[in-house]
Amino acid sequence: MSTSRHGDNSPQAILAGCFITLIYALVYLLEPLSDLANELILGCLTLGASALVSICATLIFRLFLPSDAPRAVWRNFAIGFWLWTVAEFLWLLRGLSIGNVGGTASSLTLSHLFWFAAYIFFSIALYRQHRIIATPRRAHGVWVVFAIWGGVIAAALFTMRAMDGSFDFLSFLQYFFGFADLAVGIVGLSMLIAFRGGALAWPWWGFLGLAVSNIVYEALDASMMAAASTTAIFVIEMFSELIYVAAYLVLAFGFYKHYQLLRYGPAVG
Amino acid sequence: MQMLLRQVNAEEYTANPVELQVIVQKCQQNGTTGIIQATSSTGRQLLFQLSRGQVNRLHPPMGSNLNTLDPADWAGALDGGLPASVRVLALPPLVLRLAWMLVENGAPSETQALQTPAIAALVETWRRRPGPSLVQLAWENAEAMLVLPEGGQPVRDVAFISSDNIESGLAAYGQILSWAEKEGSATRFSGENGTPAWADYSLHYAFTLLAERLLERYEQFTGRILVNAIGRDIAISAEREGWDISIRTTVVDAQVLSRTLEEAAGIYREVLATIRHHMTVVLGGKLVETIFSETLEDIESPYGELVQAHKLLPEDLAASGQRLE
Repeated sequence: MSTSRHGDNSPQAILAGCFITLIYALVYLLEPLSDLANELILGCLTLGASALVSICATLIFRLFLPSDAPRAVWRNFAIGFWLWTVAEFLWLLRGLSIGNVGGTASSLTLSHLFWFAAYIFFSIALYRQHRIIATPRRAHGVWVVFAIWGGVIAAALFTMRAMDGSFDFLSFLQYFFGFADLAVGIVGLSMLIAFRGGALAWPWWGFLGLAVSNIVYEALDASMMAAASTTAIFVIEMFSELIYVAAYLVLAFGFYKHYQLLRYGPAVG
Repeated sequence: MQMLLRQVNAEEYTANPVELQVIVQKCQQNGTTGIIQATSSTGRQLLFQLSRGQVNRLHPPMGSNLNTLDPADWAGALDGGLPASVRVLALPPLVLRLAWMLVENGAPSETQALQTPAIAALVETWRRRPGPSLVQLAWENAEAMLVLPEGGQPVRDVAFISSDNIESGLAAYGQILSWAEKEGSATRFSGENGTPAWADYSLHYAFTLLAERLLERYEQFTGRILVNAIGRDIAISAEREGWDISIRTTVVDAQVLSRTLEEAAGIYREVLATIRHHMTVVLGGKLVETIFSETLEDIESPYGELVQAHKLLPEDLAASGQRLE
């Protein structure tokens, strides 16, 4: 897959991503500073990775002219990821206030609402992208978006009923995020297949990575409840947190490659 | 044919065949695009079509090698060695293309008196005629040429010539409609006679249509910014190869005037290959194959067939286009 004609600094970007992930893992494992300082560093790294994605999406959006069809796609992605960044920021504030940045919530927070709202914008963006690829004559109607949302909500409700036996909105959201990520991953995969071999596939690699990581994160989060020992819980928790940060970085890398492509043009030599 | 494009400010000479050769050589050196019209005292004519100083075609056509023009080859066409009146008309490429269609067209299909306020109605009537047409409008102090495509489609290309102005493109149609002289003449030439100039025009249009639709589709995926990158690459190739082609956003301005249809097709093929290469790098090969096939499928007859007949697309893409039909 070709990159932009500008000097390709992907290796440096990958190294930087690995470095951030390593720092995260070391701080998590070794806890070198005070509890508050450690929590702050971990929270800021997650927030920074999320903001990186939002910034890249915004930069891409800004490269398009008002008449460009992809502008609407990237406007919605940018809004969606900024909502996620706000959610991460609120999550960090909440975590600092209770002394547990990475952990799970026992009650609904404002962050959950921001995370949830982002999927609305992702849906719009993905549908618009679908319309571009498929052309009006082959594209599905907007009903497909509602059908997917219906499917995701139904799957979340069904799983919650099967697993928990009762309805709880926070629990529902946890399952919803898992299935919504799965849906985003499937759509991302279909985009990846459509653009296979082309430079436009890069952002979709990022989406696929984000979706897979988030699904693993949700699964680990769920399995943590059932883990017997505190060591097992610690390892699972660390692994899931690491994947969460890495997912943002993978997506940021995909978006950065896309930005480079648009900014400097393809290497068509 | 009498005086071609008489409103054009032409250089005029009287020259025997040897002197005519000197005039032609001078035009070659100057890189002239236009027509040299030589008319003998008995009214016999010899016309040279020049593009960027290259003699592309002669009318009447001659078998001589256009690279080594020899007055002996054309002396017969001009009543032996007698002097002829010679006009050198420098023309914009589109005007030259339309004028040459006029040169090759022969007898008109319809002629009638023209009332300027009724031009729109006349065009409306004539564009319902079967097949494409070239319409020539003439007033005392101006003239114009219009291409009416087949199938009742709107006016496609327009050239307007007055003593102080040559304008081409659809913008010139407004000038025609508002021309001050109220009376003139209108002549319609059918494009169904298949002259080389019409074939060249149709191939040019087929290429432009295909290239613009591909660029429009590409723009939907990438926005304007990467479409402009194709324009830049084409500009570099055009500069290097001496092609008169430019791409601004998704508008293709191809004024290629070649000696043969095959030569023009070769240039179009290279431009389309560049577009395909860009698209493949960005969109991936499979999607590009689909886009090319769908675009080709959507191109109106007979232009889709022309694209295939002249193999403007690589065989794998043309074949996938056929599969879709």
